[in-house]
Amino acid sequence: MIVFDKVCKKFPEQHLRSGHARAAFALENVSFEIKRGELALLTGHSGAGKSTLMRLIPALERATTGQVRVGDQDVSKLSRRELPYFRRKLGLMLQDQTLLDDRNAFDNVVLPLVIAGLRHKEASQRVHAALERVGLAGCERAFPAELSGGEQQRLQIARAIVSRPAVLIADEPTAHLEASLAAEIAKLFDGFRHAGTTIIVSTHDTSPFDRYATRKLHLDHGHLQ
Amino acid sequence: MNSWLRHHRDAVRHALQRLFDSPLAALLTIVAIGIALALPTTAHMLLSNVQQLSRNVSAAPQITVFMHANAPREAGVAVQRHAQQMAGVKEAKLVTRETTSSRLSQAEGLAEVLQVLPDNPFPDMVVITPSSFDEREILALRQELQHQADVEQVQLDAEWTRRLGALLRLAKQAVLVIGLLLGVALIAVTFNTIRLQTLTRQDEIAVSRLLGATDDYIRRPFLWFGSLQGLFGGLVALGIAWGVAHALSEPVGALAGLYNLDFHLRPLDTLDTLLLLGSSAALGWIGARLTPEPALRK
Repeated sequence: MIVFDKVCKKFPEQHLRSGHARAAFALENVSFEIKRGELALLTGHSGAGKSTLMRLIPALERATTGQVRVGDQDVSKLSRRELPYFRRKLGLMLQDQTLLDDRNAFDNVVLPLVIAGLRHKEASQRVHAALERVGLAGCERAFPAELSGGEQQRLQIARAIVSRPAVLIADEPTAHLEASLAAEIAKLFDGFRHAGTTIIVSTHDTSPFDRYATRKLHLDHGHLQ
Repeated sequence: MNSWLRHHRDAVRHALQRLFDSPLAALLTIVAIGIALALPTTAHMLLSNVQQLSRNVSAAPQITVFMHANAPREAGVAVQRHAQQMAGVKEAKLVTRETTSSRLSQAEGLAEVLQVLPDNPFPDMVVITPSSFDEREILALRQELQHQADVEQVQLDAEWTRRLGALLRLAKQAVLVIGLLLGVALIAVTFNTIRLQTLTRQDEIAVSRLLGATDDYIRRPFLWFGSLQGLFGGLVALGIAWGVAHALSEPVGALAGLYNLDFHLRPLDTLDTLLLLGSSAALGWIGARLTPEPALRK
């Protein structure tokens, strides 16, 4: 389902104070395959390259060399015109993907369906189902600022799963959450996995996901261990 | 309804929502656009009215030959006959001094004046309609008629309408230039409004891109916003032009009455109204379309 084949990601040269320039390798020769219906955990210290790897899957970054494939699509070769339609097949929960403060919970969650051009009635049904699934039924009219940190996190999950994606990519989905809330979210992800969704979770703290993970990938300074 | 239409419907809804999110700022911008558009619109409306008036007054050139006050009737008849035989003359009519006096005595206020005068002060006249509109031929006719016996003066009657026509053409060019300049101003105002909006909506643009929004999807609400803002500005301009027409209608009608003219100031007709609203919306669209791509690609 998700294949990384000898992927390298090098960022442009950084100019150091000493006057020297050096190329920053975020990922070096990374290869792995996550099969359909797996829940893969991606771990590693800060700066190990987790976020870069996660951003390569929806083509927010492009691999310098190597190949990234999702399903039968070679992500590295997607044109600018094809990219939006590819991203509609993914459920994204990234750190820089915030909730929109001026829209209520319903409008935040319905956004992927509006973008995909779904009929209002069907979209509405799906939003209610997604909110119910993450335990936010009845919160449709609440604005993000009126929700707790855990509820906001669950709202992001609802938005990520509302379009019933084949692949769910979650970068630090349990960051800053209490242990009980983190365990709740991990359980939710397990439910999605059993429904056939392929999930890749990047996290510092693996404990909430340990019992559900089918695979663990550990990154160290851009190298897969 | 297919998804393309649904996207447009949502984009219109979002654009209207953005207008109403900051009503005072939106109102001020729309009023500024409306006033800018009102200037060429009102000028165009007034010019169209004046043009209509000049069309109603005969624009066909006429040459009036005034005989000496003491010239015998035969002299006038001779000029008329001579004119009828001249090349380039369509018609030549003798208007006797008695006919002129009789006509003018029917005009209000002039009858008393004419009664006070001891003699009929008007000369015989020969009114000539040339068959050609060519200025050189008409001037040649005038030259020849000037040398006829007992002729006091030869006057080209259509001269003032030609001058008015030239003035109107000049004024229309000026209105067009002003309209173009203010159109550019409308584009600039819309461009700046949209640019500011893209800055305040970076989060929304970024999130939408991550969720699979295309360039067209991102741009659509901004294009509708620009078009609607322009359209509302056009409506304000239309209101101002209508107000000017309404305010001037009575005094202009009274002034025209003094010249025995049946003239009423008309507001913009349907075609001009549609043209104004369509072009103001189109200019707003252009202003929004000019928003640089990078602002929408975050």
